[in-house]
Amino acid sequence: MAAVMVGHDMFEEIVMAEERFHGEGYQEGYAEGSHVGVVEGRRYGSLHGAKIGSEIGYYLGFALTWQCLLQKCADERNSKKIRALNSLIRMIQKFPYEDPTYDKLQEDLGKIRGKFKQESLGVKDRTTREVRMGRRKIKIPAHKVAAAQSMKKPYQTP
Amino acid sequence: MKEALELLERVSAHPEARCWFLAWSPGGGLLASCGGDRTVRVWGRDGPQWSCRAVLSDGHQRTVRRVAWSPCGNYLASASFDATTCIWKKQEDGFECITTLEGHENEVKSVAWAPSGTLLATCSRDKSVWVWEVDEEEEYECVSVLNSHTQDVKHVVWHPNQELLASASYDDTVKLYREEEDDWVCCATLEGHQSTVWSVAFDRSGERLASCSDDRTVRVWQSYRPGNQHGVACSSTDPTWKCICNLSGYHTRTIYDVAWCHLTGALATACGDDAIRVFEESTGPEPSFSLAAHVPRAHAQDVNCVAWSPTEPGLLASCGDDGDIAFWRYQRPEGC
Repeated sequence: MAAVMVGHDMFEEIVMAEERFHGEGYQEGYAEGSHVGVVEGRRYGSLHGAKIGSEIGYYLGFALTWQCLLQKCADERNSKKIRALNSLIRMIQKFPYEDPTYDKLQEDLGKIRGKFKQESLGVKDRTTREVRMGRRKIKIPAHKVAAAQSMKKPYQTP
Repeated sequence: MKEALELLERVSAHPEARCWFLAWSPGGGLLASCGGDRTVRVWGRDGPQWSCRAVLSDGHQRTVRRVAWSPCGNYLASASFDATTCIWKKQEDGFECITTLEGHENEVKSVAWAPSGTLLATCSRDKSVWVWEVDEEEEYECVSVLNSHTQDVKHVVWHPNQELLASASYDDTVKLYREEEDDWVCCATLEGHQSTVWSVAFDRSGERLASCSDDRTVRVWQSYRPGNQHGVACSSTDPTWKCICNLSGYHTRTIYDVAWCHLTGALATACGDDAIRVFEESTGPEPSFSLAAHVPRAHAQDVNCVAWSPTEPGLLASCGDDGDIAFWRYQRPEGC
C-alpha cells in the first residue's frame, strides 16, 4: 500500500514537473524582468526628462536674456516683443517639471515650443534685418533693379 | 443638366506641370495661378480671351502650392514646398518680391490674408499654423505658432468679416482659431470627416462653413451662438459649430477643393475623379443641398481647385493636374 502511495507521489512529481518548472521559471523571469524594466525605465525617464529640461532651460535662458536686452530700448515695437517674451517666461514657469504624469505635459510643451519659435523669429528679424535686406536684392532680377534705379521712384506704402 | 455649366475657355496655364490653385483678385479683373513649374502666373482678360500678364518665376525653389491676394489687391502671397512664403507687390509693370517669410520647417501648404489685410496665416506639413502681422512698413512679424493639429495642415482660410481663422488637416479635423489676450488660441475643433480634410470655405455671412475631404463627402457646418433658439449647447462664450448637412454619394474620389460663391450662394467642388460639381441649397425646413451641375471630364486629370469670381455672378475658374485653367459660365437650372 505504502509503495503504491510513494509510486503515486513519484509519478505525480514527474507528471507535474514540467508545469512546476514552468511556473517557477515564470516567477523568476517575471521578477528579473520587472527589475531590469524598472532600471531601464528609470534610465530612459531620466534621459528623456533631462532632454526636456535642457530644452526648456534653453528657452528660459533665451527669453530672460532678450527680455533684459530689449528693456534697455523699449519702443512700441519692442514692448510688444517684451510682452510676448513675458508670456513665454510665464508658460515655462508654470510648466510642471516635477510631475511627469501631468496629463497636459505634451500639449503644454508644444505650446512652449510654438511660442519660442515665434519669438526666436521675431528677435532674429531685429538682428538680421540687414542680412535679410541683402537677400531681398538677390531675389529681384537684375533688369528690374536697373529699371528701379533709373526711375528713382520711392516705394509707396498702401 | 450639363448646360448648367458651360465651358467658356481653356488655357494651358502651366504646361507640363500641375496647376495647383487659383485666386481671383478682389476686383475680379485678375486671376493668379500657381503650379508645379515653381511659378505664379497672373492672368487678365483681353475682350473674351484670357492672357498671361505676368510670370513670377524667381521666388521659389520648389512647387508653388497656393496663392492669395491681399484684400487691397496690391499684394500677392505665394506658399511653396520650399518652406517659404513670398510676398509680391504689384508694380506698374509686373510684380516684385518684397519679402520672403521663413520659419516653417518644411512644405508650406497654404496661405490666406485676413479681411483687414493686416494679418496673414500660413500652414505647413510641419503640423503648425502661423499667424503673421503686417505693419505700415511692410514688415511681417510672426504673432503666433499654433500646434493644435496632430498632422499635416492642408489649408487655412479666414472668416469673411471677422478675425477668425479656419484650418483643415490630414488629422481629419477642421480647427478654428481666434485672438485671446495677445495670443491666438484654438477655439473649436470640427470632427466628423473620416479622412483628410482638404479644403474649407465660408459662405458670405460667415455663419456657415463647407469642408471637403478624402472621404468623398462635403460637410456643411453651422455656427450656433450661446443662447441660440435651436437648443444647441455652447460650452463657453464661443459659438458651437455643428454639422447640418453631409453631401455623400456624389463624388467617386477625393474632393480637393470646395468654393462657396458669395454672390449666388452656389457651392462648387473640385474632385479627383476629374469632375466639377455645383450644388444649390434646396428650400425646405431642413438644410439640404442638391446637385445642380456636373461636368464629368472637366479636366483631363484631377481637378485641384475651383474659384468663383468675386464680382461676376456665375463665372467659375478651375484648374487641375493637366496644367490647364478652365473658365465656366454657371447658370442655376430651373426648378433647382
